Amino acid sequence: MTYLIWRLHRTHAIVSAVVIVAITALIVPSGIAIANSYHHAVMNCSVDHVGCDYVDGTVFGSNGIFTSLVQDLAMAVPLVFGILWGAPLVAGEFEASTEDFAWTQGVTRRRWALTNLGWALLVAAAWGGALAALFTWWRGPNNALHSPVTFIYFDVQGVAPIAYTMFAMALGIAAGALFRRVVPAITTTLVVFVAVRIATALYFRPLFAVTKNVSALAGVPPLSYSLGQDILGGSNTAACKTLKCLAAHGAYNHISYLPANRFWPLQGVESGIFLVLALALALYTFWAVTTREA
Amino acid sequence: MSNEPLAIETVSLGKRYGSTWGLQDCSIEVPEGGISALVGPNGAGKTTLLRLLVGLRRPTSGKARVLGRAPAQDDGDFLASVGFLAQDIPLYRQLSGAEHLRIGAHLNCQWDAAVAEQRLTALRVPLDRPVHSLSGGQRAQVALSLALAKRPRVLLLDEPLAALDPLARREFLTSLANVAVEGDVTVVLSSHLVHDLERVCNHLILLTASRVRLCADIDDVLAAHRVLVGPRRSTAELERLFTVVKVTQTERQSRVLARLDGPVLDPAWEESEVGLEDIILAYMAQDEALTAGPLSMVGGAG
Repeated sequence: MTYLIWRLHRTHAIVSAVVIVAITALIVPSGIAIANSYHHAVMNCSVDHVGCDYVDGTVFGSNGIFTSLVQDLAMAVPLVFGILWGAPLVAGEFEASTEDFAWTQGVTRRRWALTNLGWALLVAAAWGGALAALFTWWRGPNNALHSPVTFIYFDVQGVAPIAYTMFAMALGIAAGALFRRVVPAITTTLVVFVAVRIATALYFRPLFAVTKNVSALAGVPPLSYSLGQDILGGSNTAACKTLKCLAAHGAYNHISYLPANRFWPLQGVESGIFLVLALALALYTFWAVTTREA
Repeated sequence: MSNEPLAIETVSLGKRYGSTWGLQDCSIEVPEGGISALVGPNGAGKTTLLRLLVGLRRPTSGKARVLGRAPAQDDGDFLASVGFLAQDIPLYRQLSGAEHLRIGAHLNCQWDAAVAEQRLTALRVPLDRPVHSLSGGQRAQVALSLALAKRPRVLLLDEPLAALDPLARREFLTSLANVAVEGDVTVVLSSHLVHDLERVCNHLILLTASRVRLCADIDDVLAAHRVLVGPRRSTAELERLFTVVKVTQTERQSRVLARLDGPVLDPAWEESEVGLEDIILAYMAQDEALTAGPLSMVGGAG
């Protein structure tokens, strides 16, 4: 069974390995350069007190486009897995009618389904993990300057990308088992993955936000991700033109933000959610493969 | 019927797709050994029957037994005992014959790689090339070898001849005939090419419009069916006594193809033997006539 899987997905595996090597080759020099310039900038600031206001600019100024490209790439990797590897896994068998061959050998459909799902999810976890480790390392200096709980920054590092990749893979396979056609499976994977990821980022993560009132002069704490600030309250503030004036008249800042220290709890919870979704999709696939007629 | 052990037995087997029946009230018995021809026009239910027998589909009604087991794809022993070659010979396009053989070895407890390789080498089928680059005949031989390497006790082949040219068809059937002679295997082969099957098959299952019309040894079918020719007259008397399959009336003559269950006593009828192809075509034509509109004659199922 494992030989069949290896033989059918060998090309995928080799291409994925090459892609990982290519991404590594792309990112490692940039990561080293960013780390070096970060240390320089911090050194200059702490020893010579020069450029302390421009650490961010010094480190990322010339790298902005590249940095965002790398992040977009990291965001897209799980989806690519789901579309190119997950979606054709079952659907491709049906399109070529090869399930007639595979399912009439000595292997039960149950075993066929379990072995395929097992390997696919394992590979997704391994590949997702390798890339997540790479991007996490690369983002080190950035995390010191920008909040790691910010949308996109949060999504490309830590352990959550592993769960995203497993989810995308399971989604592709399940869509293929549902439609038994590659193109509808790919389309569904694309739409559902993007929708679920955006929905969790926009509506689920804010549930972990801290909401409180602080002085009108204060903002959200450093390295936290601001979800909203509102100067409220106070009396006779109409004439005020500065925050100082507002504060003096009793106004306060109503802030809502994700603190940096919620990074790991959020990573854990979100990984959990996507793992459960992946597992549910894998169960559906198992059911569809073992009970639906061919 | 007979006391021979049965390779395949179905009782009122039916399969409905939505509101239409792909197969209805199908009761057949296939004895062990030999080659059965599963014949019928396109859409008669041949593929449905074979897929029910291998467990790829599940029946809506009735039941099927293959070697005494209900076809089920969660039953490893069942899967091991049945070989299946699906319509259009599905194989992994990009993989070679040798790779398919290796896959088969990994997917089956019982696997006779040596025989398969010998067969394909003897037929000069290149084993190292991706199967999509092989000819239709070579692909069919690869698929047959794969099905045989399982050493199945029942081998179900769905239209394996459809894509083959006459020479490849002949080679394929010769291979199959050898297999049936050599091994302890029951083969069911579906086709609408009646002529080709007569040479190698000893048993016939005729399906038309989702129903079984005949299921019997070909020798018995040939022995039972006769063409009766006589002066033009009503066939009512014959229809009362026998199963009349086809009546052709000309100005002066009546020609009747019937299944006889006893001697024809009326000396006005001249009896002659009839070929298998003519018998099958007569049943098929009868069915078309029945679907086209009501007709006086009614055929009986086998």
